[in-house]
Amino acid sequence: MILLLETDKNVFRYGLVDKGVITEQGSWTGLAAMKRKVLALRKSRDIRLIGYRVAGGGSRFRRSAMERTASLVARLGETSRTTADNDRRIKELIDFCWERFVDTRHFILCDAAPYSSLPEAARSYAIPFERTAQGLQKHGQNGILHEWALRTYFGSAPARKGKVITILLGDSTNVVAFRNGQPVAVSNGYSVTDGIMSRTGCGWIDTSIVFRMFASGKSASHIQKVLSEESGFKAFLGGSFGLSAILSRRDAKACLARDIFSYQLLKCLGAYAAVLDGLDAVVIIGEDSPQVRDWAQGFVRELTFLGLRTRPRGVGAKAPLLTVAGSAVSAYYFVCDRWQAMAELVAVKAR
Amino acid sequence: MSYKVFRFWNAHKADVVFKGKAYRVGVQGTQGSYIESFWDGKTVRNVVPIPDHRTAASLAAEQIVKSGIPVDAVGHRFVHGGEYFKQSALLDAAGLRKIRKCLPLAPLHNPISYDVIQEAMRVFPQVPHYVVIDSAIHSKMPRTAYTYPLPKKLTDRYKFRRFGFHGISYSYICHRMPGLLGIPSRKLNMIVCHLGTGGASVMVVKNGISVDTSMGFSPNSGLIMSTRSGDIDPAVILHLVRHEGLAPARVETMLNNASGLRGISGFSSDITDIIARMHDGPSRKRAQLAFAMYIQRLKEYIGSYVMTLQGKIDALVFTDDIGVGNPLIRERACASLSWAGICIDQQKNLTAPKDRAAFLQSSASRVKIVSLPTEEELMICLEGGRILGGIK
Repeated sequence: MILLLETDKNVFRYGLVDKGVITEQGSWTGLAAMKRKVLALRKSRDIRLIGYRVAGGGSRFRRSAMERTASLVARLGETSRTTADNDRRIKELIDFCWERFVDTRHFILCDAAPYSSLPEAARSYAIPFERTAQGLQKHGQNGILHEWALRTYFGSAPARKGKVITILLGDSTNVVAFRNGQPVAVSNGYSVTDGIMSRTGCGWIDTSIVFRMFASGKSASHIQKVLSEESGFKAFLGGSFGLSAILSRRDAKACLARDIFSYQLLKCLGAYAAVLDGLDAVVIIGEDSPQVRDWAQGFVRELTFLGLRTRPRGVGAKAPLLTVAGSAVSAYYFVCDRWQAMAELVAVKAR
Repeated sequence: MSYKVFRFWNAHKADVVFKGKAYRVGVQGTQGSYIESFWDGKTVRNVVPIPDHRTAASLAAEQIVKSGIPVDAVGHRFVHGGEYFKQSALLDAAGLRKIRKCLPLAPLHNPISYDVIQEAMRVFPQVPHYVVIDSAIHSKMPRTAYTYPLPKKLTDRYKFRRFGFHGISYSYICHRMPGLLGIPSRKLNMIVCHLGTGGASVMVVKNGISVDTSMGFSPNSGLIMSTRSGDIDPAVILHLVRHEGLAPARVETMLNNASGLRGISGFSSDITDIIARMHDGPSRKRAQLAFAMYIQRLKEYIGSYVMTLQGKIDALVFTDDIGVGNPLIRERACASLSWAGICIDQQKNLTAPKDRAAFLQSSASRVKIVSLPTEEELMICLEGGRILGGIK
């Protein structure tokens, strides 16, 4: 059985996966509560492997799954990344589990690691070079899921040849362009705020907006809160609504939010098609929801001019392949659970 | 900084009688600055230090006065009019007050324009002066393109929206392209890259109207420019303020004056210098990185706008000094766009004239690729006829 642990700034989450099936999952707001739950699991379950998901990691994390070592753990949270606080939180849990699960193998799963091979031109901002060297650059997000999608798309193909764009569709949508299995562009940047608008994040904005807010006396923490917690879909709807809610509503505000979101995503696809010199496949990773899947199918129809031919509506409604045979560009919708993706990664690494 | 004196005939016609340009104003690079004027078959070139635009304006005005050509009105390009200027306006006392209120909106441009206006008013005090606003052409953008997903109270209070700039240059391109392509303006779809030595942007035109552009609330977003960063994650700014203790004004100065090509390369804000140093010397790697980033960002915007037009593109246009004058930039920008029907002809590209329109597409290209020198001053002149003389 595999125990998987992760955290964000509010909660700790765990998942238990046995032979590829999620048997239990839950979340706790405090570290102490999470520790108690872990101890309870140790008594009641036969846990052979543990995977800890870290968001940023740091420059030492070059692969998405690495067996825990003291030096790796020591580096967690030492980066200038916006995810450093989360990484410091999970570090405490790693240390706790390491002392208690003595006969278990421990793995660190790093969401930013798949992007460590991003070309310098794709990960750098056009700021003074010294600042880039300090770590103020694009780190990308959700690498584990994008890698999972790529693995699933290529299946057992021996060589990962081709130009593929993966889209993690959800409350915090992000996009990655892969050439021959290597990432060459990512939509999320230094932080998750950068990129496509999200549930509460503004996404791409003009940085002069930040300076105007400073000039009017707003503090950095206030601006941070506005851009990451009060913008995005929430700016239009007034409450914190996810993508499914946006897609199901028909009022003018929701329509505007959806249209802006779709337009941003479409432009991002065009940008990455230009980086890749065309496109072989679009792989969407989404939730198991008919609304989101329908929207995804409608979205890929916008790519008809690239030679993409979609299935007629209703035909093979739940099949991953959204396009017909012979389509010049293929499109897929993969339903993915992150626990399964993480468990798969741990299992492969443990072999 | 460029300047021209026109003999104005009517709403569509004006002839240049004097023109000039100040090169490398305030630029730190390997070559010196100079100002060059042409009139009546004469050329005057002064290689002099030009530390700022007020000095450039003073030198230009001095040459115009010496030429003896009478000046009846002066038109100025003004980048960011915010909520104060939605269209061109006469610069009376009230107009100047509004101009001063606009200075913080585009810290790299508006103060410079104001300096030039003040210098021109000093030299030509008896004639009317007017401003033509650079964002007017983008005023018909759809909401999906101009709206930032920010709280409404914030956008209402600060008027945050995508304005877009380089509008005078784009107006000229929109004015010329229907004739060059034989397509009526109302049916024209194109992507226009205004690549200048200082600023740069991309605009997408659908059925003759600007529907999106890379610059936003300010001219600092979008493409990588000479000293401006273009698009970056706002969290970078917040990190520098919160964790590095930098004052916001200092970060703003860094993003406007010390970033872009200058920031990446560490030695020049001029793409020509950067290209020259890509193959040898100690700065080779930084020069290669700056060039690669410049091209990648440009390609990304072109690719985005291919999607905006759903592939229905009549032309990809390159304009302004770099757009018209640098074949390597055009070649690399088009290098991976065959999927969008954009294929450049290497020979046509290399031999394209810099002083007139040229078609650069290969026979395999579905899209016309055009190099077209812009005429911002002509558009400012014609607009002056409308404002001052009521000529339409």
